[in-house]
Amino acid sequence: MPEEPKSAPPVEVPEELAGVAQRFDFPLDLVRRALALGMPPHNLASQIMSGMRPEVAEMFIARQEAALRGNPDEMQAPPLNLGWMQVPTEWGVRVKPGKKGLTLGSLNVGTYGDIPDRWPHQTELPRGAHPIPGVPGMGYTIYDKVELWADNAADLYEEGIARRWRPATDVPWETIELLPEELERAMGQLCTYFCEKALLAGDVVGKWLPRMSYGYHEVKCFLAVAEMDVARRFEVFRKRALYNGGGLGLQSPGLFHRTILDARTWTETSLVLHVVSDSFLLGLYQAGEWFAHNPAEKLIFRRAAEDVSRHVAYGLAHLKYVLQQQPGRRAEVHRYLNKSEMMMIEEDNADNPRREALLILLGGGLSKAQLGVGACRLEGIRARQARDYQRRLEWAGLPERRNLMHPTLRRYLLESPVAA
Amino acid sequence: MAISPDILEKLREEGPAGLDLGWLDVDNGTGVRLQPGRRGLTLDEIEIGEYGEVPATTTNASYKPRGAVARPDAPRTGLSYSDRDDVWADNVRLLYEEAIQRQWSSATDIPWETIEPLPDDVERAMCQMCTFLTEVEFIAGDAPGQWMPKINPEYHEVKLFLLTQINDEARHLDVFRKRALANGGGLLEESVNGPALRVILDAQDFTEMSSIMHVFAEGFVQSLFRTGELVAQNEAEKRIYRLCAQDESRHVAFGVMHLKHILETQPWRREEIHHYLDRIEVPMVFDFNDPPAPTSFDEALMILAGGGRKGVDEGFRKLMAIRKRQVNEYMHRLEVAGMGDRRERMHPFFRPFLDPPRN
Repeated sequence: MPEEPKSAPPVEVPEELAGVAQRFDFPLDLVRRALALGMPPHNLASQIMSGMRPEVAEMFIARQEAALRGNPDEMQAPPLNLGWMQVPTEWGVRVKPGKKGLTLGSLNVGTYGDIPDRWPHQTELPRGAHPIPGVPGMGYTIYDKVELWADNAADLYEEGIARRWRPATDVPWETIELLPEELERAMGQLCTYFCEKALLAGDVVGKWLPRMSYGYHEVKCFLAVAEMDVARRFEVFRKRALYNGGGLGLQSPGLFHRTILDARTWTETSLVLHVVSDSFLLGLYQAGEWFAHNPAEKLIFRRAAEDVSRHVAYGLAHLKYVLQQQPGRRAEVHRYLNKSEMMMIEEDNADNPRREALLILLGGGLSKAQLGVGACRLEGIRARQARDYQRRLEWAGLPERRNLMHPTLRRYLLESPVAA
Repeated sequence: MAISPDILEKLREEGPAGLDLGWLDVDNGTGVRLQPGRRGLTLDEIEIGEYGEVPATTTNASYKPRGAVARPDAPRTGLSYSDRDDVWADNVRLLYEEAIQRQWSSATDIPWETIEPLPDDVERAMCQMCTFLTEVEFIAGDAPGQWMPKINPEYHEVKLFLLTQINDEARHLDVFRKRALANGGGLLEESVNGPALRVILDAQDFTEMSSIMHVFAEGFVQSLFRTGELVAQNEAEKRIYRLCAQDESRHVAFGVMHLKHILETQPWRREEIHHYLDRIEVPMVFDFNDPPAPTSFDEALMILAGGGRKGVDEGFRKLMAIRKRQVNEYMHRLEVAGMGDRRERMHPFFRPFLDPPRN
């Protein structure tokens, strides 16, 4: 039960407040009742001076006093407005679950599927809802669809949700046996790199999310799921590194981290993070599944690859959309790729521990012969990474990147098929 | 067995070009093989030895994960909180693991087929409520995102937890939009109160953000979801509220324990936190200059709780009961966190709903 209002002497009204009330013809009795409810005098003075009407205050105060008394008979609904029931939004929508359930993309029917090229609202107005004039802006900076859209965002969001997994319980950790010291250290070194990449991705996407306006909720939802993915990747690779007692290795040089962080637009960020960085990361995860020593590692690399492939897919679809909508930005995109590829290669060259860890893992050990095998296999992986990267860029509408790619990557590309 | 330095030296001379292998000289391991516990291999199981020592303060200004070996040439990647106490909560590892375990899909885990046509006023009320919820839920996704770069990698557990929250909020945005469009209705009016939550995004300090968002705002929403039985019209809606409440519970739990940690480790910040709560409690009170009409959300809730427009008086009484529950649960959380003195300082709009203190 709420506290009963005590029968107390009338509340004393501070002189200054009394003066304000008198000046604005505000009844002193209402002032006392508001103070009795606990309203701070300065708040009340401010409200009176800004033109609060006595009859409005009376209704509010009476309701508060009734609530304090807790008498159900006094609790009658105030007059209702109900204007919201008749706002001119599209009504009668009945979306049914399909074979993948009730998906986000399936909601895009009628006006709810009208995704404008520029979102005109600064507020959190959900797409298709009725705006109220005068609602303050939320400080978004991305209002143009071309700055973040990808046609596959809604589907990728649902896929990310559907393909959820739980490192603590889904990975058969007990299948990890003790490895020779060099293999364990190499795995720990590689896992350290993967943890860093995950931390970075989480921060970068997190930074951009609040800037994206609400009209493109599919993208926001996909990126939110992507954040969950990176949390899981950090978690699982840290767990693997520590599982056998080997520990983490050396941090990476961090040169390429800065290239991602330094991006000034979301398109640039996505290009560097998803199209370049994640594309090559995907290649490493795929290689990891190949050299995995046990079912646990196989599953870890496979699930990590699945997760990051969605991020690559988003990045490519966004790039494709940008190039279709703004073909004049092609040269700009190449500049970003020039810089990214260069910094990525510089990082790779500077990251001896990661490279050598891969030699050991791919070759199966530390002998001269094994390292030689590892070196050959690493070349094979790099070739595959470069070719996959090029194929992805072709899909996104950038076939000429073949001739503009960094030489270190270009040398791996196969000759284009000759036209018949 | 340690790797022989002689072997390493030989490899540098005779192995593939450019071999260094110096990183193999560093023994950074715990030497302890881990075992999954009864909840699997959780963060609690792995964070042992030096890896589990969460530093009280750090000079790490890069993406070096906790426990990895630092490189002297690694570039800085921006400023972040360097003191653990500014961001920590003792339950954060548990909450992260729980979030990973309790993921759900709005597409397939909600029995959408149990939604049957409702009377027009009830459907409109439900759609208005869903419009509000799909609108405001992702503030609690954007806000943690904003803070991600400011959490130092040494406190990765906090980062991981916030990443799961961002995912949770996307799911909430998604599920309420789905409900609004699943039963012959649609979205309705933007909320008046929604923008008041902008104060969450305006926060200049992590504790400020967490107090306002986790403890106050999400606390109120969680209490509302837990009364979902009063407004749910079918199994689908009950499941929606139940799953959303489950998610919100984690967010609230983090906020309460973070606030508790702050008050224990930085007790001089008590008045500062009162100021933050003053700020959030005030915008949630309607403006005296407008007629004190209920918001569209309140009206919708009254209609749902009353079973239709005709039952709006009963709905109003239930709304008051919900408010009472929200305010008392909020006060209880503050007491758990060590802010029982908030009782005397709570905004006058909320104070009438408070039950007397338990002792």
